[in-house]
Amino acid sequence: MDAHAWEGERAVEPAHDAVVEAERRTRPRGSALPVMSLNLVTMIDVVFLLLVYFMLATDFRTPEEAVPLDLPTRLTAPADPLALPARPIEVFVETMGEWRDEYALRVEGGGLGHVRTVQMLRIDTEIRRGMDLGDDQPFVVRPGAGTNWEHVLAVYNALRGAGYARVRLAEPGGEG
Amino acid sequence: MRRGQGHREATAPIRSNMTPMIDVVFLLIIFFMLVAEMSRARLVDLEPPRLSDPASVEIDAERAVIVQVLPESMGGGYRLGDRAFGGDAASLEALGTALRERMLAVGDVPVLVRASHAEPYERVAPAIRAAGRAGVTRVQLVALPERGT
Repeated sequence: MDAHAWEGERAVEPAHDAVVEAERRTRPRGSALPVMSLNLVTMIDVVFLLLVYFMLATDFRTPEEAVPLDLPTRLTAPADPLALPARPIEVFVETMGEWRDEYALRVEGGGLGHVRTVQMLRIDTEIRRGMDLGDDQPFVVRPGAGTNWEHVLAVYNALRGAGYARVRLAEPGGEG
Repeated sequence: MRRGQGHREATAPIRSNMTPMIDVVFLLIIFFMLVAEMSRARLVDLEPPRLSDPASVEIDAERAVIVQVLPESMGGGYRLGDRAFGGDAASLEALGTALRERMLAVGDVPVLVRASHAEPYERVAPAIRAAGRAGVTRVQLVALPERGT
């Protein structure tokens, strides 16, 4: 293949042209071997496009979920007139600590006075459900002033996770 | 022009270079994906509470009505869809009315309350209360579940 034929087969890309031209110049005169060349530039283009495409298509965030909250209005089911009204167990929670990432927990009622953490609350209420605590035992979560939402939701989630449906969030300020 | 040269041009093989075409096609795909992503971004940039042992359910993002509690850094207040509401009593009343209208329009879907993990409870409670006043039967609290591996 001579130099003339090379010009006829010329590629469109200027970068490719330059590579071919450089190789042609460095080739020993009279050599008839064809130049092996791989066009890397366009391949990298496409590879990066694919990379961006898959990065966009992937959702790196954890998908958000939601804890169902039964509003008090929905809980007024027809009550059994012979059943003793169960007194709600009150769970007090408050955000503490210098970085406001700790909490203090106190439970009144139901013999759960020893509970200090959300994990304990979850386990203790779960194993006693159906024993001395009824399935429909009501709970009230009473957050103190300025309690972080994450701590309120953690307590609520623990009680829901333990299987109690009648859990209520008290109004801020104590009453309700 | 010489004769031979003209002949050679006439019979030169026609080759289409596929690479730039693929480039452009992928660029278009990415462009439309980005546009779709932007038009879908209705959620405020806040981090909901993390739950280590979640009793949560999946969110039906297409249908759900979301009330968002805006952090103080974003000016506070509440947001329903793309409408913003202040934190005072009159604005909360307006939020309740807007919620009721929305519920009438979309039917019985859960109302999601989405708030930052560091939000004081005093600022989240009015959103839940507004939903209750609007007659919403199903309220759900948005969280980030952390399931153990």
